[in-house]
Amino acid sequence: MMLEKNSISGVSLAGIATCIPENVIENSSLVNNSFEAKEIEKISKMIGVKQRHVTKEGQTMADLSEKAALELLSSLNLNPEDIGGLIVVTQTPEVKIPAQAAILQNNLKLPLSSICFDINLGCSGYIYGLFIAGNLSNSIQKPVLLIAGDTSSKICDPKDKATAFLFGDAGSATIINPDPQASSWDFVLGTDGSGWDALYIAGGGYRDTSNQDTFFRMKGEKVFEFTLDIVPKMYKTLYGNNLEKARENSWHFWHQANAFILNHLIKKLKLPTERVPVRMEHYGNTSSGSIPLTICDVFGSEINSCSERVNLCGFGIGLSWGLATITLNNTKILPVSFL
Amino acid sequence: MTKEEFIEELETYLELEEGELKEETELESYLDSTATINIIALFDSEFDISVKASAIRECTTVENLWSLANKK
Repeated sequence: MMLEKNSISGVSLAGIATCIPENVIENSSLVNNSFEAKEIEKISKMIGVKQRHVTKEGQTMADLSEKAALELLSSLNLNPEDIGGLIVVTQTPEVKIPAQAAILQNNLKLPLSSICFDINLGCSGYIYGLFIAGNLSNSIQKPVLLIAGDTSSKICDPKDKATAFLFGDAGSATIINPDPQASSWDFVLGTDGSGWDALYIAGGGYRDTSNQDTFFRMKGEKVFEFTLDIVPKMYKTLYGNNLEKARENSWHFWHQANAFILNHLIKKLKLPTERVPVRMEHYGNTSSGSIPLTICDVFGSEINSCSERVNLCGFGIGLSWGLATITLNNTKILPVSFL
Repeated sequence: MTKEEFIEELETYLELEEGELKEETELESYLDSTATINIIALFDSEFDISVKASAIRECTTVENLWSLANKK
């Protein structure tokens, strides 16, 4: 399989903010008729998740992301009318139609001239969002707001051990600015739809309207096979045989799929563990929100304006993938907030 | 890696007691989704080979898995 590298220039990452629900569920509290304590303990240990922040009934990814966006706009001294575009990456919008971006355009009081649309992607969605938001910002020469978030806890079958203990909820906001002086961003993006049924929801679509299974189904083995294959290939495409460059002086913020996969990949790629944060223990897998959440968790508490080289890597639903190498330059990273 | 070392590694990856597996041990009761993922990880780490879950599921005994590791 041949992967391709693409680049964007003339844009910079102004800031990132993330918001998660206050409500916390401990995996150990989920003992019921379906799962005994010992089994939950074994699963939780493997996936590296002890607890998750989970939305309450009526709370949505839009609520979390709206709070993150308002905090970010304020910290960057931007007004809503400065924003030229809004891209929302989600698979759990508050309504099916219209696009979540339309509703958030109104809630955030963005200009009527702003270009607003959704992207239906999960784990790789933040990288796709950055690529499209970067190109859009460069094209219209205005700041673009990228929202990435999901409430995957709402679509998990509590009796399915593949997903019942894994997913948490998060919403994020990222602002991309036109910046002619900025270093270019490099990307590897792709999709292999032959694996679409490794992660999917069968019900609620229009091929088989009688299908009532609206829970998210995951074939863990297929996802693991795919991830072990694609992540090293993406790094090879971006860095060639010079993986040392990836190992030196740069961070690796990966989609927090599950700790077993991440730790295996860190070992396989021989990356320094201290530069590849695995922060799932308290959050779980937050789908499209996991990369910004991890960045805010790592940088948001101590360093507010961040200048670092970062590799951002997402992989999953589609099956699809994305790796981006970006130099943060005085990027505002806010602490994780709660709603 | 010898067959004996392979069986020890397999026990480690599957979090089993030492000596629980023999080459003739049947895998059916062990091969759930989690175990299959662990075996994929074992093949990747120790043998640097990519193996499909379907290939693992075709193995009925530990001996079959050892053959699979050496066939690649």
